[in-house]
Amino acid sequence: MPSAPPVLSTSVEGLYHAHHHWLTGWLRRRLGCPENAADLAQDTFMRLLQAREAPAPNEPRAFLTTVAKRVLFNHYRRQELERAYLQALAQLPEEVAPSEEQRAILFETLLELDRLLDGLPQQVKRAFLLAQVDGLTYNEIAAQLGISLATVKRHLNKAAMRCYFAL
Amino acid sequence: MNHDAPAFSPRVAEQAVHWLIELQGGTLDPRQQLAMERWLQASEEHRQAWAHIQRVNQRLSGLSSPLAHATLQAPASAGRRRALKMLVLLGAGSAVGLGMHAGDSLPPLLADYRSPLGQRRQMRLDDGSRLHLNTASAADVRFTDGQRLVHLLDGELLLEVAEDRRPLRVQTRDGLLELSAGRFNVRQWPGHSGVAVFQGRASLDAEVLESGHQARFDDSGWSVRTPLDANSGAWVDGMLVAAHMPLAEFLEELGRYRRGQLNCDPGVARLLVSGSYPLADSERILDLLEVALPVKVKRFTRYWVTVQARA
Repeated sequence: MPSAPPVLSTSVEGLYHAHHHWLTGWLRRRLGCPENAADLAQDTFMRLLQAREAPAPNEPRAFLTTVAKRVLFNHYRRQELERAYLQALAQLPEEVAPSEEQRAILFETLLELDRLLDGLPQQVKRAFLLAQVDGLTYNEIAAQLGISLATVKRHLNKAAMRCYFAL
Repeated sequence: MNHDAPAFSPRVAEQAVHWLIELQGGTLDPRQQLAMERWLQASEEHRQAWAHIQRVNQRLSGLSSPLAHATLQAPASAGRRRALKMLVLLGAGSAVGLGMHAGDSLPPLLADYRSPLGQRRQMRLDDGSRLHLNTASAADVRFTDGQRLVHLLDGELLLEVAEDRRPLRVQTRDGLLELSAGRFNVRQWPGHSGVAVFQGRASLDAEVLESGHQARFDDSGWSVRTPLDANSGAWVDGMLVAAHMPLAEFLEELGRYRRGQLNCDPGVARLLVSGSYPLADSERILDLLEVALPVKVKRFTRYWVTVQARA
C-alpha cells in the first residue's frame, strides 16, 4: 500500500527490481506451477513491505529465500487444510452443512485457528477442540483420548495460551 | 498491518487461562470462586482479558465440530514436509526479526464477518438490517437486549439500518457512533475513522451528523464535515467514482482492491481524475488512465505497477 514508509518501500523496491525474477524462478522450481510462483513471490515482497524494520540484508538472495520458505510453508498448509475441509464438507449430511456464505468465513476461521495452534502436538489440538467446540467435560476428554485428567488440563492450558493470546 | 489484536501482558493472560481451565473443569470450591471474583474485580485488564476469552469461545462453540476436527487434523503433505525441512535446515533466524513467525500479523482474532482482498460481502443481520463489507474488511456483530453493536475491526462497511427499539452502535478504533434507521458508510483509516450519512442521522457523543453529509472522527470528535462525496458508498455497486480526485488518492483507493503494489510517481500525483470506474477490472482502469491523462502505466510485473509521467 502507498502508506508504507518511503524509506522502507525504497529498499524493498530495490530488492524487488534486482531479485524478483530470480525469486519467481526459485519458487517455480519448487512448486512446478508458474501461476502460484508469481503469487508467492509477490506475497514474499508484501511481507517485507509490512515488516516494521527495513530489511538491509548483506546476502539478499539468501534473505529472500528464507522469507519465501515461510511463505511456501504457509501455502502448503493452506492447501492441506483446504483439502481436508472440503473432504469433510462433502461427507456432511445436507441439513447440517453450512451455507455458501458461511463456508468461506468458516474456512478462514479454521485457518486462523490452525495458525494459532501451529506446532502444538495433535493431541493438544484435539483436546482443545473437544473442550471448546464440542463442549465435552474434562472426564469425557480424558476418556476419549485415553489420557489422565491432569494431562487434559495441561493440554488445554497450552492451547488456550496460543488461541486466546497468541502466546 | 496494525490491528487492535488484544495485547494483554503474558502474566494476565496466564491468570485468565488458569481461571478458564479451572472454571470449565467445574471444580471451583466456594473459596476459589471468591478468589476468581476478586481477580476479576482487581483490574480492568483482567476483565478485558476475560471478556476476550468469552468472545472467542462463543465463536469457537459455533464452529461445526466435524469440519473443525477434520480440518485441523489435516495430514502434512509431502510438499510441506519438504518446506519444513528447508526451514529447519536454514534456521529461520533472519525472518524472525521481521516479526513473521507463527501468526504473521494477526488478523482480527476470529472476526464474525470478513471479506478478503478485492471482494465484497453482504449479509442480513438478525434485526433485518443489511451489512455490506468492502475489500479486506472485518466486523463483529453483537446484538443483545440493550443494543445492537457492530464493531468494525478493519476496513469499511455500509449499513442499511432497520427500525428497532434498541439503538444501533458502530464501534471503530476512534469512537462509538450511534446510528438511527437509515443508510451509512463507515470506514476505518490508519489514524481516524470516517462516516457518510446517506439517510438518517449519526451521532458521536450526542453531536449529530445529518443526512447528506460525511465527516471524519477521532478521539476529539467530528472533523472535516463536508457534503457527501460522489465516491462514498459507490463500492457497494462495484464502482469507484472520482470527481476531480488527485491521481495519488485515486491510485490509493484502487490499490485497496488489488494484490500487489500500486505506486504513484510524485510528478503526476496531483493530476485530477474524474469518472466512474468498475472495480471488477482494475487493469482496465489503469489502461483507461493512460488514455485520459498524460501518464504511462509501467508494469514491472503484474504486481508491481508504477504510474508515471508519459515521456
